Amino acid sequence: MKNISLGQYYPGNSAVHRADPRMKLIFSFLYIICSFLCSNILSFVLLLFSAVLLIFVSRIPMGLIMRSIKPILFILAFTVVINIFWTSGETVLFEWRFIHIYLEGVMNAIFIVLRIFVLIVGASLFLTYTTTPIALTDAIEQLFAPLKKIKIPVHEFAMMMTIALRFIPTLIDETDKIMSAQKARGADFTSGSLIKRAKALIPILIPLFVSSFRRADELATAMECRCYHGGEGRTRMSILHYRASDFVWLFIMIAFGASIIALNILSIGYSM
Amino acid sequence: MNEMNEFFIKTEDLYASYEEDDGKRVQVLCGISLGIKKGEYVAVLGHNGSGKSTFAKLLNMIHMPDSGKIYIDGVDITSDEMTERDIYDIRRKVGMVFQNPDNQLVATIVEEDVAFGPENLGIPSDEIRKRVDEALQIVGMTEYARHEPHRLSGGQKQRVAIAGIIAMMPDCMIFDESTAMLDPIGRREVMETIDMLRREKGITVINITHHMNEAVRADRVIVLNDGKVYMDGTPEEIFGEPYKLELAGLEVPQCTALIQELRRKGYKITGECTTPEKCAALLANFIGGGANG
Repeated sequence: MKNISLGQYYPGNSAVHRADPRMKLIFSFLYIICSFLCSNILSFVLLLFSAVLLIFVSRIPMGLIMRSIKPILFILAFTVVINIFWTSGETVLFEWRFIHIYLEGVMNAIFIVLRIFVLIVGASLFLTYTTTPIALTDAIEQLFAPLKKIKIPVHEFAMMMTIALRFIPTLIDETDKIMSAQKARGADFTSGSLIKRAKALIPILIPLFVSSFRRADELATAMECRCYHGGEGRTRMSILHYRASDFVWLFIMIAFGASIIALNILSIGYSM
Repeated sequence: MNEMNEFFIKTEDLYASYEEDDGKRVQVLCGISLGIKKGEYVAVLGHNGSGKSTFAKLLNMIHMPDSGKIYIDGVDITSDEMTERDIYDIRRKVGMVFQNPDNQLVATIVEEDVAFGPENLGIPSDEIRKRVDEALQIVGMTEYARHEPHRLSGGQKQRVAIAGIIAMMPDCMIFDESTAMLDPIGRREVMETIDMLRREKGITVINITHHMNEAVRADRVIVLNDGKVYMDGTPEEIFGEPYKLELAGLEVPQCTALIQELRRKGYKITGECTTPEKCAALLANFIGGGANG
């Protein structure tokens, strides 16, 4: 249990890993927008090419990326089926009784699958795989700092995230201990119907809740003792600084977005 | 004024109570008056519920007393004129390390946690960096600066917590049963760190503890019982009265008990002892002396 790692961070030292977490946050947002802007084959080819390039640059193993796709395979399959069978168009590809499959439907399905694929690859490469949760929290706090002016408690949100991240391993450890203690008293978590097993979890959850509240209380006192009083007047030890390479990234990203839009306007070949 | 400067912490006729979950008020402190000098190493003993933790929490304004006065470094912290700034200043001066090392570390990285206090005080970044490096070096955790707290041992976590207080540059540190949840190795690590802080930084130390072996390391032992100062003196004086201690629900250290027991059996051992080393020396001296005579 000591070796639990948070999030899906894949340690490395690629250009993507080194980029400023705030930039990466912006990039993943821009990338998602770009993938939605694509509306013809050419721009899709560019989008796909960029995703492959990104995988290559970040040096994240392909298996890991496939693993992040896995949970949504069902949704992907579902959208493919819906699109193929329920989109009507002009060019009929296949007809049998009540089933009509049109070229438009097939193309739509392909586009949507590609779009979701690129979306996930982009977000996971820019954020989850190459950025530690801590860096991400810092990025959120510093990127959204201007929102403090309109009374959005940015620092407090970031603090909550940090504490949550800090206590996940502690609480997992604790759950483990409680489970062992309950097992020693004869509790059975592995057999019986689903409802029975869910009921068996109650004796774990209640002690876990009680101890979490106690922890929260102690932590609050400890934080007060260390002069914590919210984000006001607080400084930080490590402040993020943009570097030249971050602006190169930004330039590439803007160029990428512009070419997608340009290719859309050209509208060569099939378009949605 | 002279007297105030002499004592870093001074309390006058302190009464405090807290409310239990069922709404009942429990009186925990009934008239505590004492002074603790700058740089003094004080151990506070007492059985469960003797009010020792409450006493500690009064000193850095986590709790407020019902009545009585507390002066920290000459400032009356019970006065109504304390501003928020003043409160943070008191909490900076009087740092506190708690029992459970897990429940006082805030950040996901050791050095970020040490930086937490100074960050709250609004200290510039490069100054925080310097303080954090220094604090980690003092507790001997420099090589763990980039580690995640949950991978450390109990003693190491507690040392990180101590570093977090040191980085705020306190004048006084209160250890509220800080070794109670540690194994013997962790306990030794923490006790050695406390001794060293005292020696090299001249920090006033108040160690609230259950362990008699820890209490003997202090210059002065205060025994609280039923919310009152029951005994107050050097470790030798306090542990020289085992029956009085027993009435307060406490025991003397084993080595002291051994010498006292031997004496009762008729062996004429002279001198007082509170540590195993001193005990061994006394016994060696006695046996050697006996052989000669």
